[in-house]
Amino acid sequence: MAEDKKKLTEVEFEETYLSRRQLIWRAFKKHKLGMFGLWVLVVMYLIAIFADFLSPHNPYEQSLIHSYAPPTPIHFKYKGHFVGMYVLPSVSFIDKFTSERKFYEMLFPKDIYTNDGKYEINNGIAKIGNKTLKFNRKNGEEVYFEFTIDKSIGLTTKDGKRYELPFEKEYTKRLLIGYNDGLLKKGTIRIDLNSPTAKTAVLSNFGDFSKRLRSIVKSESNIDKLWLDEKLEKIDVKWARTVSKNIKVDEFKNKVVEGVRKWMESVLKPLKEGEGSTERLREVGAEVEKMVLADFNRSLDKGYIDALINGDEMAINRIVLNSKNLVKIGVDVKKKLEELSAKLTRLKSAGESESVMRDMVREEFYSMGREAVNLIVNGYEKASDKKQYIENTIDLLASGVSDYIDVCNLRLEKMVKEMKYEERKAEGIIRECLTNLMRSEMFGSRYMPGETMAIANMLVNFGLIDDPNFKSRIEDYKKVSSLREVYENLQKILGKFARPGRRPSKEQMKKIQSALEDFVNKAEKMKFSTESVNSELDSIIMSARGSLRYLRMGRSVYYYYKRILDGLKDISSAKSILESVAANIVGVGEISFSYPKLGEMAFKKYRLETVKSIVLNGKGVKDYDYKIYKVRFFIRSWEGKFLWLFPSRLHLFGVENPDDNPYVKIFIMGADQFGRDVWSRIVFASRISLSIGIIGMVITFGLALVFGGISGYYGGLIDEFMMRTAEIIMSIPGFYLLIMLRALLPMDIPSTQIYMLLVFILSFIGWAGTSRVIRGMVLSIRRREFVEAAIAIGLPDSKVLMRHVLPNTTSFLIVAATLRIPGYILGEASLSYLGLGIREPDASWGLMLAQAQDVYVMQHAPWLLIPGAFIFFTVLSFNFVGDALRDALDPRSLG
Amino acid sequence: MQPRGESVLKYIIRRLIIMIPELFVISFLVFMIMWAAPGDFLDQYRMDPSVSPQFLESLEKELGLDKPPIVQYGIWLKDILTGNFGYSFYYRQPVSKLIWGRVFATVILSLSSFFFSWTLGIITGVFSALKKYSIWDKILTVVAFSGIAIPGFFLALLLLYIAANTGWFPISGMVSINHSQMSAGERFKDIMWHLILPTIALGFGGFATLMRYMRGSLLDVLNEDYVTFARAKGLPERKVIYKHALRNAINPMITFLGYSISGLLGGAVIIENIFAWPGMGRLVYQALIQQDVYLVMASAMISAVMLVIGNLIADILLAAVDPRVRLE
Repeated sequence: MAEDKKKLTEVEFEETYLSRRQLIWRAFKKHKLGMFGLWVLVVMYLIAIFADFLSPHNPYEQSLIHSYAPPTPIHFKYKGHFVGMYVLPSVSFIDKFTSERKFYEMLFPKDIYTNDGKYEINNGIAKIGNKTLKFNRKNGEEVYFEFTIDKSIGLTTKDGKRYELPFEKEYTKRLLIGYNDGLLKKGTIRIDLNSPTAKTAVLSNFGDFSKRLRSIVKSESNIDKLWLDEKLEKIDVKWARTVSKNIKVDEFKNKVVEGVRKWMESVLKPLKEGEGSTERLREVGAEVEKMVLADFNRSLDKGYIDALINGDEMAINRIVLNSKNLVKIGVDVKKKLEELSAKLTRLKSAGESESVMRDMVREEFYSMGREAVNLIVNGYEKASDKKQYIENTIDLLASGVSDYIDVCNLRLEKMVKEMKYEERKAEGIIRECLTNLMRSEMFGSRYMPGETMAIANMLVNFGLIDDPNFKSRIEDYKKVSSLREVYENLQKILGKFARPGRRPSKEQMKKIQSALEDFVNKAEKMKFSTESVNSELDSIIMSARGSLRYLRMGRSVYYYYKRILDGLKDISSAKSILESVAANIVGVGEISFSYPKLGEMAFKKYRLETVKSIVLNGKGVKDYDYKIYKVRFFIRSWEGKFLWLFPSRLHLFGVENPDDNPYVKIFIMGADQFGRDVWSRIVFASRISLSIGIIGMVITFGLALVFGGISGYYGGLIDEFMMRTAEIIMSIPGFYLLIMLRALLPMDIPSTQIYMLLVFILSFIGWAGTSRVIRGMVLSIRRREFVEAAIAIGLPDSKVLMRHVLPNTTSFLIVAATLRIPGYILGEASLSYLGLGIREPDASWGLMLAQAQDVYVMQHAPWLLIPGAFIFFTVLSFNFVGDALRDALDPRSLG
Repeated sequence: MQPRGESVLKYIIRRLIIMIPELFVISFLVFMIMWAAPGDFLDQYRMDPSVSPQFLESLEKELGLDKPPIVQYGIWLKDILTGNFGYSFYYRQPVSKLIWGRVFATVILSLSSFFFSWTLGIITGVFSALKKYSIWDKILTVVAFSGIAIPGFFLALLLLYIAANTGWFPISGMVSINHSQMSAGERFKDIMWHLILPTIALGFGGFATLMRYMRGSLLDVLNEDYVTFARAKGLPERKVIYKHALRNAINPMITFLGYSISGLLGGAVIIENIFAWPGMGRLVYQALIQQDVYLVMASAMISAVMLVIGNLIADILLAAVDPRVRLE
């Protein structure tokens, strides 16, 4: 009782003596979650306001080498000493479709210690006195591990016995970092193989080994645990070229690309009405279907066998995913064809074309999946050399064919759709195209002229671009591809005559010389305008070096290279490479030999502390330093606008990057597809999400107050009319209405306008419900004495409404408004997620999440999901705050 | 009972009659919005230089796009009254056939998430109200707040992420690749298996909201005088809660039920997209983007009818469980 009394008096006290503001404050003090929400919101809004200051990188700046880069690791210790925060140069990429993560990492040693002393590295050149070491790595070069793996398979049976069986030692060559971090770091790696598939596979697919196992465990149901141990035995790291490793794959790739291009062109080219068109359609359809199916089979191969051998359930999932992707492509193709058929229906042979369509695009495009699986299983069972079969399929996988199909497809669709868009949009498409091209350059070991030219031509033909730079870029690409032709000729000749350790005859020498001359002449004439082409050229020349290394042809060759150098004076990086090439050829022995070893050295030291001793023994290299890039606070970097107004370069944190190394970035939350900093984008996106709620809420409640107030105050016909209107708006399903209203407004407008439209749409949907509640409240307040008194005095209606009626709804409004805001935030996020809201390159949390839609991307770049957490916490905080406010103001007492 | 039953029937009939002009206005509004949207279905062909103007003209005539919108609407209305939902421009199939083909998947998904959110929501709501301020109540409160705050599509993505990484659940679609080779029992299991994640993604928000409401409603009722009286009378606690408190607490929930019914056919556009669920949501979304007018109209009308009927059902149910409420 006593407690009750105390409570009562407290409530009384609050009601009698405290202002609304004090009430709210007291409620927040009591309501811990509300307080938490309030703090979160304060932080969020501060982040939004100081977005420019908080972003270490420009949120729009693309950096393709960092596509899907994981959060940058920040180190503190260097060689055992604490040196403060620093980062290392990094590059990363997740290949979307090949199911294999390719992770490239560049190392930029600062100095290297050998028996000669310390080589200092400056601008990619290592120097000690007059002696120079060339140390310049480009994308084209990779590091391979050559090592033996000691594999053993172990199992425990259900009755608790343990068996371990060693495999034959395996000699392999693998991409260094693409292999397995665990293996490299610890020296051993254990893979658990507990899926039923794995058990069956192990018991039946390993030849003699399986027999032995089977004799032990009888049946797979007896196996309790199964694992595979891999132990790294001997490591030998080599610099190696990826180029020309699998020409078959390249051929295949080109074929597919060419096929797709052909198809695209034939779809786009005017289809002449009348005779012959149905046949043509059939042709195109059949071609595409064949292509897709072939690709499907090939990409499935590897995945399925992976699953079989490793019992890897993920691999099975991947197959499903792959097939889904392909089916998706198939469906796209189908759609395209259906569009075509729509065009054709008006032809004379309408009936015929329809039946053709039905044949061509079988309803069951999905059945392809089953077919393909069967195909692979059969193939695997029939294959005489199973290991070889698997290896071949791995090669095929590496080609990532589906990527190209998809890329072309998407591009095509976009281009067709956005053909009439403003220049800005067109630019965006081009940028994307080029992005994809560069990606393909990075990962396809070769530059693919076919695809590039197809897309470039298409862009030009559609009149999508007026950009002189683009044209010159195309010119550049054309030049490069012509140069490549010459180079390929050169390489052919070299390959014919050049055998390691053999000196070419005089006649052969002449041929080589003329080929070289041709090459040089061509190269001399070229003038390039873009950096990307330069690096392309670099890689050509780099690969030239690869095959020339065997030749010890003396100074005459050097002369030609010298001429190349003179012809390419303006390309500094090419020059330095050529110099090193020349040095190699004329046999500056020790340098050419120590070069790869040094790279190996530095790399191992960086990635592989455990094998340090192996490397250091007797190789001439004692130690090395690598460049570190300090993380600094209050650093000056890109130019943003402080508080939307003042240009400022000052940022809260960033990396000190004095030599402008493009590989050095600090992504605290990883990077997205285009290598843009996720954190910076989140920060900028918060401006949209956080403001759209508030503005939308203000507009909604403004509308609701006017409508609800008038209708509640005057009643009668006005009331009837307004409430029916509100009812009708409420009875159109909300999300449909949202999308429908969005569809009402043009799609291709700048993000700022979209933003305004979104606010408008969201408010338009929201006002109906609120205005009904306000009407009810006004109705009840109107009957109160003080309102009647005000009317009796003769105050005009507007004054009564504004001064006496509406202010009494404030408490309700405050609470309802706070609880309404999340709706707007979620609405904007959903629309943007669907691609109907804010558009690229601008950022919004919903739009950023849309990037993670692809399961494969999401799996390997989970940091793309972070924006969702921001939405979550913002909405949660608004709910908490609303809850606390409700406690304070208890709107129930107000009806 | 007889007079009451009669009055209910009268009430239903009256409501259904009021529904007609309302639906009429909604359909008109939707049609006008679709018409006012820039461009029309044929725009994609107009952009294509390979399509001749004559062909376009004939297509326009065939689809009826050359007539003034009022006339178009009139034609649509006439068709609808004779049970013809029109013809989809894009799929070149009758709309009714298209929707009918997709309805199954959507209904399965909606019903399962409906049951998920309602059963779980009510049970946990009651539980947390009865164990007020206990640790369980606090945990459930946090779950509920998270459920309300988490965007459906984000939850779906998270679930997808978990599924992709663990392989416990299928990532997308409604059936496995080898579905057609399964026995009937296996097929059922297969669909259920695929259903789990979309159900959670779709139903979690509703579950959280329902739980909060149920908890609040029950707590309110437990503070009422008649509950105190029932306790004072010496009734066993079980009886007090299940006979007196719960029955009264559930009344406000009934109104919700109506709204949930209305959402059964159209609430899952994004979820269906993410999980590649072959339901109506995706169809309608595509239709909206492509301005496939009759398809949009049909689905909007279906949803609107569901909404109105849902409200009606809610009112009737409310009257059924709460004798204080009279239908007028």
